[in-house]
Parts: sequence; structure tokens; C-alpha cells
Amino acid sequence: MKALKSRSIPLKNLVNKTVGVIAKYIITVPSEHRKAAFFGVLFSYTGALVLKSLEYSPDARLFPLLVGITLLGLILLKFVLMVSPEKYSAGGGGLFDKASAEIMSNEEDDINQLDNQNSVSPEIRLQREFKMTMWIIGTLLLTWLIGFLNASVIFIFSFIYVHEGKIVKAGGLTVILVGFIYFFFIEVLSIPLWEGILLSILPIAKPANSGDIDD
Amino acid sequence: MIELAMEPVFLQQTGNTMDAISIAIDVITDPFNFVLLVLAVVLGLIFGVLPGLGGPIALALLIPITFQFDGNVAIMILAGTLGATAFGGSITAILLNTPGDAPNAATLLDGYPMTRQGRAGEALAASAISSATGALVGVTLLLISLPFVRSITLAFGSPELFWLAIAGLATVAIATRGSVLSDLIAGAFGLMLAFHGLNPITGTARFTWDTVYLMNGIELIPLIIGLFAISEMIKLMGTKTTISKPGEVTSGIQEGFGSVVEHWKLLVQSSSVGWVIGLIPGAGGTVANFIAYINAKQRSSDSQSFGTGNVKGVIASEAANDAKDGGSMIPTLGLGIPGSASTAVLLGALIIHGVTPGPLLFKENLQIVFIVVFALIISNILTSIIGLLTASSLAKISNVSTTTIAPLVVVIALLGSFAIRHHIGDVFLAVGFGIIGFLMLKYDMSRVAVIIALVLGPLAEQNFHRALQISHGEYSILFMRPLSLVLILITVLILATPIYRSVRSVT
Repeated sequence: MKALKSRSIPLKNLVNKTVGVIAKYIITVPSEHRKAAFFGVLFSYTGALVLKSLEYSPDARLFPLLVGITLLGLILLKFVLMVSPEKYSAGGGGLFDKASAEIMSNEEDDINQLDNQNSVSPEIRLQREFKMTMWIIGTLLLTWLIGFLNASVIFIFSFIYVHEGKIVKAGGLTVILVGFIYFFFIEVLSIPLWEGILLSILPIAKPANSGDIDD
Repeated sequence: MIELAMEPVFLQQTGNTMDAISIAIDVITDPFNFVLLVLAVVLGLIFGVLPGLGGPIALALLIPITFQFDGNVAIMILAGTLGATAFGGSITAILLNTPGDAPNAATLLDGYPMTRQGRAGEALAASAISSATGALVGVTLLLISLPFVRSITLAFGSPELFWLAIAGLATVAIATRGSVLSDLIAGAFGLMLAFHGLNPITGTARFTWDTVYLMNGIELIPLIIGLFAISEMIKLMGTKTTISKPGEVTSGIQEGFGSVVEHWKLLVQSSSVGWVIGLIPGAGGTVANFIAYINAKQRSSDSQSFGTGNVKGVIASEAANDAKDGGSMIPTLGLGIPGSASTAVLLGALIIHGVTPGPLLFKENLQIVFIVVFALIISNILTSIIGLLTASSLAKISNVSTTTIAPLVVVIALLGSFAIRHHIGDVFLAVGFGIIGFLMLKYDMSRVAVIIALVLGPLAEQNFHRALQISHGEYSILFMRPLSLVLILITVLILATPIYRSVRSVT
């Protein structure tokens, strides 16, 4: 156990350091730019959809074009308000005032505002959120590779152990949840859980109740 | 699984009302049948609680088991399960921001904030009582409207369904919190998502990017699971707090009960809205849930508090969610047109057991209607009792540390996403929308608007094209019928309200 802990500490430090560097970089980017990037991606995808819809028949493209062009206009308006909120806030009949006020307050959002509940600094919060996202993506990839049951065991145990350091709790909860999944989903509902892409590549015998992997 | 072997019994059937009631009572009160009903209710509750499972899957899995029973008993079991799944889904919606099924999505809007404030017990109790009462109102209206089944259901044609969907979409502009512009962007984005996949009217596969996965469009449940459950876990891990503040969890059963009694008018109103929406074939439970919620918010004097933990939001959505079952029985049983996915499965079960839904059902198998009514009543009462008894224990989940809850919720969420179609792509979808949902949270965009648009967008488009096909391209069909004009007026009023209020506040 001590050997396991001593080996895992440098790895944990490496992960923490990497995440910290990425989070520090992200937080140096002004929040408005991050917001603009998000809406920029949305704008790009909508533009791609609008262009694609021109290939369809008039009936098929009617609604996507109507909605898509409207959405592009709304996002452009959002960009305009982000750039010059003072100039345009009075002209919307009050409909966009809330947007302007919200945008103006965002400038200080990530730098000075502390979480009400826990006095967590924005940088630490961002690090944790980023880490959690990585955990979820990692679990997803693991599920795709080695299947639901195996990935769930690894994810639940390692998550609770890394965050709480309690091996008995981690092991107990893992056994309970995976046991429930096996009993309810596999035995009772006979749902063919995803068994992992590696199973189809490596010469490993499939369990007796496995079905075909969906395309 | 345990196999129950029973000798087949000839279906007792009648078209006479008193005989039908008598047969229904005999079936329900038979001790063995009552035990089966209780088991069905418990199973429905479990299925309702687990995200991604819900009514349709529960019913579909039970159909083979009901082969061994006569049609009356089989329908009793299925109707009992249907009644229970509705409340089951609200438990996770309230406690974990994860709706058990799409129709429970509106409940989390205020239910989860209540949990964060330590009022989970109150939310669960209010949900339990509203569910039961909504179901009772729904079946009462069903019984009253039996003589008018045909004319009610046939009043809604394609033009009316189109305008109803437009009215629902218009509410995005006023019903969601945050800036109108952000919410309109979210709603429009939801509509663009709805256009992915094969269009059943035009036959065109749109925005599939040459993938087989997107041929069926963007699946609703994984999207909801990602937008709400996964994004919330990311957010909670950011602050590493419990769902509710430590020490602030109260039992709240009395408060929940008191809230429902205090807002009895809202309860009846929302139940009626849910029942009416349930009448409309294809509208579905999600629509009933949201429209009742939006209606409650609009009529409230403190509409700004909706979305921050206002118990009225929970009452409205849960009452409508259960009342819609009573309404959806009219097109399902009376015309053979299912109102939702769950009733579609119920319809299949009826046909398997040799009962043909439609006008003849009321002449030859009226006992089926009363069995459904009694089963819905009993299942809702039972689930409410279970809900009230377990509310304070369940509320304690909100005090469990996030580092314990988060991985469990994530695993159940991913499983739930997979369980619907057994497709790994749905799991990827859930995670993708989990990240998008988290960013939407960060930038104050309404996730609810995306769901409303995703549900109502296809309804609007398909019925628009269908109406034009019926009229051979004449657009006047959309403006000719009285019910269409009423719905257009409602849409205009909905859109004009925020403009009027803004102008009034400026002047």
C-alpha cells in the first residue's frame, strides 16, 4: 500500500502541475475573449449548417435556413453588444438591457468575484472544473476501449481514492455500484452493455451473454 | 427471472358502463392482481428514477411478462407502471438535477435549486402530492370527457399542432431567466439541433455529415442527461461543496404539503393544462411539463423567482406530468393514436392482447378504460405515499460529499444514455453536451430553451409541411380554422408581453 501511494504521488503531482499550467493559461485569457470564442464556434457551426442546407430541396431547407440565418444574426448582435454595450443598451426597448448589464459585469467576473459558498478563487475553481472534465472524458474513452463495467470499476475507485484517500470507501462504493449495474442492467434488463472496442481487436474470449457490438 | 405460469383466462368485456366498472373493480381488487399492481408500481418507480430508462422502456420490458395474463390484468399492470414512472423521474430531477425521463425535465428547474437550499424534502413532498393530485384530476377529466372523445381529438389537425408548437417556442423569449438575446440564441440553437437527421415528411437526411449515427437525429435523453447532469457535476466539483449547504437539509414534508394546499388553484390549473396537452397526439409529456411550468411562471406575481427554488415550479410541472396520462388515454384508447412514447407502447400491448383501440373499444371493451383509470389512481397514490415516507431520507443525499456523488452520477448518467438505443454514440453525445451545458451555465445561456426547441421544433416543421400537403400547397389552411386563429392570437400575446412590459418600464 505504501509503495502504491509513493508511486502515485509523483504522478499526481505531474497531473496537478499540468492542469495548473493549463488553467493558468486559460485564466489569463480575458473572460470576454473566452465567451467570444464560444459564440464564435457556435457561429461557425451554424454557418456550416446554413451552407449545407442550400444543397437540400426547397421544402427541406426552408426551416433550417429561416432559423439558421436568424441565429447567425442573433450571434452577430451578441458580438456587437459585447464590443459596445454602452452604445447599444438603451436601444433595445429594454429587451437587451439585461444582456448589456450581464456582459459588463463579466469583465470582473473571473478576476475578483469569489464563490459565495466556499471562497474558492476563480483559478482554483477553473482548475477543478478542468480536472473534472478530463476525468469524464477519460472515463468515456476508457468505456469505449474496455467497456462499461471495467471502466466503471476503474473510474469510481480511482476517483474516490484520489479525492478522498479512503481506499475502503472507494472499494465499497465500487463494489456496490458495479454490482447494481450488473444485476439490474445485465441480469434483469438484459441490456447488452458496451464491452469495449479492444475486445474486438484482441484475441480475448467474450463473456457468455455478450451481444454484437453496435455499429 | 421468475416465471409466473397461469392458465389463460377469457377476456371479460362489455360496452355497458356499470358492467365495465364492476369488471374493473373485480380485476383490481383481486388479491393476486393487487399484488401484481403493487410490484408494477415499485418497478415503475425504479425505472423512473434511473435516468434514461423511464416509462417506455419499463413498459416495453413488461409486455412479455404480461403475455401470461388476460388483457384486463395486463393493461392493469402496464397502466400501474406508467403512473409510477412519472413520479420516479422527479426524484432524481430534484435531488441530482438529472431527470429520470424527458417529461421530468421541467421539474429540475426549481426542484434542484430547492435541494441546493436544503429544501429537498419539501420539493419531494410537493412533487409527490402534486403528482397524485394531477393524476386524479387527469382521470376525472378523462371520465367526464368520455362522451366527447372523438370530437376533442379530431379538433387538433396539422395546422393547429403547428401553431401550438410555435406558441410553445415563443415562450422561450419570456419564460427563461437571463438575457432574452442569450435565450433566443439557445432556442435557435436547439432548433438547429432538431433539424439534424431524417425528416419524415420530406424524406431528406439533413446535417448527418455522412454518418449513420445522425440519421436518427440528436437523441433527446442523452442530450438532457449531458446538459443537466454531467454539466452540474462539473460545476459542483469546481466548488467541491455538497449539493446543499451542510446542516441546512430539513425534512420539509409539512412545508411541501402546505405549499400544495396553499397553491391548490395552480395545482388544478396545471393539471388541466397537462391534461389538454396530453390530448394532443404526438405532443408528449415533455411538452405538457414545460408548458404548464411556463404558464405558472407567467401567471405568477413573482415570476423572477422561478428557477431559483420556487416550489410552484415543482407543483406546476409535476401536476401536469401526471395529468397528461389521463389526457393521453383519449387519443390512445379512443382513436388508436398514441399521445407519447409510453402510450405508444401501451397501444402495442393492447393490440397484442387482442384489444383494438379506437371507437369500438368504448363499445366492446369499456372495462379497459376503467381499469386504466383505477390503475392510474392506485399507482399514483402508492407512489405518493412512498415519496412522502422516503422524502426526508432521500433529501439526505444532497448532503453527501460531491466527491462521492459525482462519480456515481456520472456512471449512472453514461449508462442511462447508453440504455436507450444501446449505442455508444449516445454516450459520446451525453459527454459532449455535458461540456456544452457547462459552458452554457458559465455564459448564462438557457439550457431549458434548447430542450423546448428540440422538442417543439420537429412538431412545428412536420405539421407545417403536413398541412401544406393536405391543402395542396395553399398557405391559407394555416389561418382558416377557428382553433388555429386562437393559437395565433395566443402566440402574438406571448411575444407582445415582454415588449409591452419593457416599454412600460422605460416610460
